[in-house]
Amino acid sequence: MKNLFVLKKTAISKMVAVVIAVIIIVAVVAGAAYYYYILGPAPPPKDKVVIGIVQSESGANSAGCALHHLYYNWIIEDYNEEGGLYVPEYGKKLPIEKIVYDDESNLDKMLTLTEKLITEDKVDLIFAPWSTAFCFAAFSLYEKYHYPVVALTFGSDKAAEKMRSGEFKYAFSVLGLPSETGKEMADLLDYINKNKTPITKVGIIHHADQHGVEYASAIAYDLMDKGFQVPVQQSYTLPVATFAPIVSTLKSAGVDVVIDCGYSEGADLIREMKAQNFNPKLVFIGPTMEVPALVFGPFGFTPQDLVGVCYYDGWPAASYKTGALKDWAEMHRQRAEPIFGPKAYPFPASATFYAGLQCLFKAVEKVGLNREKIRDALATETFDTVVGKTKLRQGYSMQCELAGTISQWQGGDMMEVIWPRDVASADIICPKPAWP
Amino acid sequence: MIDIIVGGAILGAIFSLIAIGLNLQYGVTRILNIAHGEFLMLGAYVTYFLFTYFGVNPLVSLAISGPTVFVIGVLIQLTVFRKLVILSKSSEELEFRSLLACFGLQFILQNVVKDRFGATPIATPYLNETIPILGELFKINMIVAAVISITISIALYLLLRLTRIGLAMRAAVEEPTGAQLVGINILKIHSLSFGLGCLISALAGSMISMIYTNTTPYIGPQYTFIALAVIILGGMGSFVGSLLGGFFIGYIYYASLKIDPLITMAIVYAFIIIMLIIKPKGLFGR
Repeated sequence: MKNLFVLKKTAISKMVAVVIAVIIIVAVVAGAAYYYYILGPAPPPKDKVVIGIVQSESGANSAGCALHHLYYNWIIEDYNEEGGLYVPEYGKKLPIEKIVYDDESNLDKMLTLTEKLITEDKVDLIFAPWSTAFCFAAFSLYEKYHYPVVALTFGSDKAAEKMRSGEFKYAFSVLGLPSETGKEMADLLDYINKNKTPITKVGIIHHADQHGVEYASAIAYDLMDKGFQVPVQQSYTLPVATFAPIVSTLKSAGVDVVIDCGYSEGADLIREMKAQNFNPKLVFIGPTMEVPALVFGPFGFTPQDLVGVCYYDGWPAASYKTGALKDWAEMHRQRAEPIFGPKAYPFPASATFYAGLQCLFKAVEKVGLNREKIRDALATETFDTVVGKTKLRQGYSMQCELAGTISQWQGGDMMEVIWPRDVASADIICPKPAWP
Repeated sequence: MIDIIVGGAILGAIFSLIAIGLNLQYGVTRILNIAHGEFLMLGAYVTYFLFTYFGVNPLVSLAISGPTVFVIGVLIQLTVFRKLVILSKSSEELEFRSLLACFGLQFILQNVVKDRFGATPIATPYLNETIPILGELFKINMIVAAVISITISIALYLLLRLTRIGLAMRAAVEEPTGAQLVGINILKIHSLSFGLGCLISALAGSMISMIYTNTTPYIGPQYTFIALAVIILGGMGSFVGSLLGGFFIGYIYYASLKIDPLITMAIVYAFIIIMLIIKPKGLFGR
């Protein structure tokens, strides 16, 4: 019997050797590819999601920041109450922890601290700083380090252009931009002119900062494009010792509508208009004048004082009259009351601020903590939020199912949405009644 | 035109009062209190606190805010600036060190108030009704503030001119060494002057909180700047200079608001620069 175990000294041909080698190499490469790209390496152990926040807790910006960044705390609390943020690569909810730094209302400090959050603290996500100028400055950092961010208090066409061109791929914003606001204002005044009362002249005054300049310019442009006259277009720097000369100028020009692209000094402007018995058909004021806790608290107004006063900014604007948002408004009042007093109802963009943050968290829940995937999800997905179906649009305002644009005080504790007509919660009051 | 004449005078009276307090402090103590605006802010918050929590009439609260901030000012002078006076070898060294101390004081006062009251703007709106003057409408609270400002200015002038304390203060300004030689307790005069400057600033702050809606812990520097502008124009250490400088700035300010609000502060700065070049000591400076 032949010994079956005696190897035959049979030569393997070169061709066969090459084929075997190729098969082995392909198998190894395919296996590695399957492991790394399909299965993926196992994620490093993780017991929490860390969110970094640089905000103005002291300094001139701290008041506005405290109001608008309330929702940063709330959304983290809300998620942690339910066990945390679901992260798919771990298959479970992870509690959220925040690291907060105070930029002292200093832009350079904000940038330094943001970089610290990213490079030293290595946070998973970042919440944007407060105000257009600060957000604009921080966008370059987010771009450098690839951190997708949803900016709440931001409205600049200059930065929006860069978002649209791809220069700021990682930045998303919630609020209406100046150019979008200009168009909404022009459409609204055109509708009023045709259906309610003649409007021909508009006076625009504004704070000489980026917000004031961009919004005033955009609104003036769109109004003139629609055929309105803008005989008064003035800017001012703070502090304004008295609005008397400015109101006198507006009065002399015979404007039908006054638009003030400013902040809390709008309260002084209203008082001066009342003092001089100047009753334009409509008045538009800017940020802080839409906040019930402020206007009915320290600013000393009653709901009747402000009937007819409109707010051009802070949209998408939600109405809290009915349904789930009505409950949300009451929840807001109870939750914010210890901080802001008894009239701590939401302002028009409160729910949409919260919704913007929900989009970020829902993106994580869908795609995990990979920031490139989060960015792509934010850019393409529609999310279910407190204001309905919500979509972030890079370089434009957030699109919300249940929200409008222009809002108006109509004698209640919260503003009514008056534009566009199809999502309005109330009819437009125009001409506004005389100051009480 | 009437609105510029009357409106400018109203603003001028308020600006004068703010400046007089700072001028008094610097004239007597040689301390340029750049935290002067923070004492104004303290006065505003005392009035707000009394009005909001106890329903005290803002005008009545002047009788409380002034003395309260006077006491705070004196305590600060005793604990901080008196030490600097003792340690400083020359008046230049005192001025330099006290300037730095005032910088720190600014931030301390801002943050103490911010911690207690938050940074949300506050106001004590009062007397916002109007009365006509020569056909133009003016808010009553601004007129009242102007009248009170002028009254306080006159009272201070009479104090300096007709009382022994005032005489001692003037002696401390004109000849500190000689004043000590004749038995004037310079250290007490310093404390009194500093406290009085803070009191005047606080009274201005209380009135400002009635008029404006955006009082925050951070409003101080803008009023310190106004005070400095008035003093530079009117002259350091000159009471009359502060009064006239205040009215001058008030008129420039009001008139430029009518032309273009954006250039208001630029015009004020321009006048300051011109004055510093032409007459560095100011119109009535010594």
